[in-house]
Amino acid sequence: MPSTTSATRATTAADPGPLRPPWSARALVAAGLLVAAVAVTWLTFWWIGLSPASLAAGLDDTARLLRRMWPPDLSGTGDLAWMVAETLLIAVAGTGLAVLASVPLAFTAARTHRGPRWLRPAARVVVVLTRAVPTLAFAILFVRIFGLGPLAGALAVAVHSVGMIAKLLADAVEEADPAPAEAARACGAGEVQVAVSTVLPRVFPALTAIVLYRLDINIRASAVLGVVGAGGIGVALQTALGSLNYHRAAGIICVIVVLVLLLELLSVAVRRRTRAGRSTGDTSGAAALPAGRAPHDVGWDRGRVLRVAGAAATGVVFLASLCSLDLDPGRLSGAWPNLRGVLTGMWPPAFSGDLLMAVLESLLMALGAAAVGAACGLVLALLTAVNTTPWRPLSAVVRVLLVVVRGIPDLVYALLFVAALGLGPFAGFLALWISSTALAAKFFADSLEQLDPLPIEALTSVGARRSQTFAAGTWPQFVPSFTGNGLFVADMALRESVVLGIAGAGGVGYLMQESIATLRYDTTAAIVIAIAVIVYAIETLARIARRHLL
Amino acid sequence: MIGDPVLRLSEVGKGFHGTPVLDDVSLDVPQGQFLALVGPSGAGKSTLLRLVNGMHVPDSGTVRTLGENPATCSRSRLRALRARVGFVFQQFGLVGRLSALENVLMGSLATLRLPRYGVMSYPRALRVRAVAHLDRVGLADRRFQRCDTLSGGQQQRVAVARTLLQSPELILADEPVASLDPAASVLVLDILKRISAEDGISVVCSLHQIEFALATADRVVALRGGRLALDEPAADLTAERLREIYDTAGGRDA
Repeated sequence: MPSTTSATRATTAADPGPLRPPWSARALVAAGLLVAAVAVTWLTFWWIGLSPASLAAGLDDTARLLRRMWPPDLSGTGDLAWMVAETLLIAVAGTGLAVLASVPLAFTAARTHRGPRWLRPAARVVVVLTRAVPTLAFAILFVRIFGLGPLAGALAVAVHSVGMIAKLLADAVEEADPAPAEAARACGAGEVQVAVSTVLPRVFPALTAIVLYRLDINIRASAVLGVVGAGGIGVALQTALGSLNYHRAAGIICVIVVLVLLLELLSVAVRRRTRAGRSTGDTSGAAALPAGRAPHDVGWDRGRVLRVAGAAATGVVFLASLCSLDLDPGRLSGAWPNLRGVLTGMWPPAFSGDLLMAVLESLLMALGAAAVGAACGLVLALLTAVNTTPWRPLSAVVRVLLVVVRGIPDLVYALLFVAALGLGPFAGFLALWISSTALAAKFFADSLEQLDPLPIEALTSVGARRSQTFAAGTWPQFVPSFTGNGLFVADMALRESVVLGIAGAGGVGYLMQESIATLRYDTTAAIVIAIAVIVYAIETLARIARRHLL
Repeated sequence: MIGDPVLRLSEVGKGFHGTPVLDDVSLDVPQGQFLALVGPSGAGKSTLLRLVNGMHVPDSGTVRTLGENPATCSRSRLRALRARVGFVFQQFGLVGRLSALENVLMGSLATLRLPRYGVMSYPRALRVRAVAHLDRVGLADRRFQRCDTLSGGQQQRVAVARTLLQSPELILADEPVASLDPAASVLVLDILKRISAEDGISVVCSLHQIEFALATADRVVALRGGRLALDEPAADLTAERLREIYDTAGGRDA
């Protein structure tokens, strides 16, 4: 890059050389994303007829609804407790089934796979498809096949989770050191033996982390599965809202919020424990063999007792959760013809103009809400992050508020806004806007706190103002994670937007539910394909943009 | 050249969380002097430098930098003072994703009102001066290269150019060569020395390599356990005498 001509030219005092930086792909991508975000937001506002007046009226209606919901009705504690338990069992059963299916799938989908050539692409298609279609969409389908109840919910949770768990696990498998596998192969081990003895132990910590993370997501998802009749506490929410019993609905939403908050506290505690446990685990592993123990005897130290007890407890909980799903043989055999009917009815997929318009509406709702949400989230993140907040106590208040707002599932917001504002994409947009804002604020605050403080210190020492320090030091460092996280929020909003229609909040979800109810599975298939294509396209776009902006 | 000192520390003390770091330090730095601050790590060198531009506030005693007291002056006056004092960091303090030129331009922010982002948001006259300073540190041809693709020595030279754009009357350098290889260290110290000699700018530079201090500085001040242990012209010192400071300090502090 440094040519001698430019160097000599720069040294002459009269001609300083070029003072305008050359155009870079990075600047073009950044400008393109910004323009796209503004354009999509404007298009969304036009589509849903959003104006300051309609927004004010909408907030007014929402406030009125919230007043009608007060006080929340929390009667029937036993019933509520049972519904919470069922919600948890659905999540546990679904996650457990997903883990069982995704371990072999991950090994097949990983780049290190050594089986037949065609297996890997096939596994990847399964991973992409199951990840692209939302839990609730599977739930609608499975309610049709297996009937109402938690079995459909658990299977929906399981199928959708398989994609994510398998993808993350496959990444971990690919990163594992290949040397032990080579050594095992050299000893004559088969490929399954190699996987079980050398790769599985290395990816086990990653697997545990992935599963806990997914369980967290699945419990939140299970709370609303009942809206489509797939069991859990959502059934009661749907009943209460359907019968206009708003006090009861408020009570159930409170229970969901408390459940999610407890979960949040638990997962923070678990994460802290596993992080602490890892450092102590290393030292205990280095301990010498205790005297008086036979060399072949592993023995029972405290760590092993805890591990085995933990594994046994996990297994028992998983089995119990499976038993709670009413797996009677009659029901399963009845499901078989249903499944055949659904699958044969799906071919050929029936695309139509209405369908594509509905898909477009979902897309606009999601991208518009994500763009506005990212902007609002940025402001909230700057208030929250410890290194940018103007006032520490404010930071703590916003942080707690964000956890509560994130705790309420999108579909609950959608149900509320539909109840307040009526059917249509306006309600869906508001629901996605709230959840996108909260999600973006959390991601942005986390990455703001990880920025390098040295340039900030240097700018302070130069005598720059706070605003200048932000523009010259904080913002340029923040751009990559802002874009990456912003695109991720858009991705999440898109997945949610296709199911909000179930609550009547616009988009393709309503059509999907209707097509299943009226046995038009060819339409269902077309919708699923359209969703998968769009989700995959957005993901690819995000990956490309991220690579150019780093 | 003997006027008011550029920097005067009077009986300065400073501690963190109850642990004393500096204790009764008094020091005058006249204009144009290159002062090397030596001493083992933890002796208080960084803290002393940060007291000078108001990034730390002393617990006792007073600091007068270019006639101002950074501990008591208002925020806007402190900004104006910092604009007149260059600071070179051990880890450079550059924004890695931005070009060398934009990082140099940040040295002019105190003279501008509004926030800036991007090379073209700075006035042309400043860009011309920034390029000239990059040229002075030998990096004019790297002006549009991202800083995180430059070597450590090049990054520190960009940081020095940023400081030069401030037109400083005093340069503070906190271990400017501790993260660099020997060849790059010599280059960076030569540049600092040349600036001090040619422009008559005082430089207070903390170093832990004794050889560099003796080869570069006019005057060597040693800190040990937060107190002044030695203050002599570099010409009168030998490496052996300086090394004793480290050895005794190691024994006493440990």
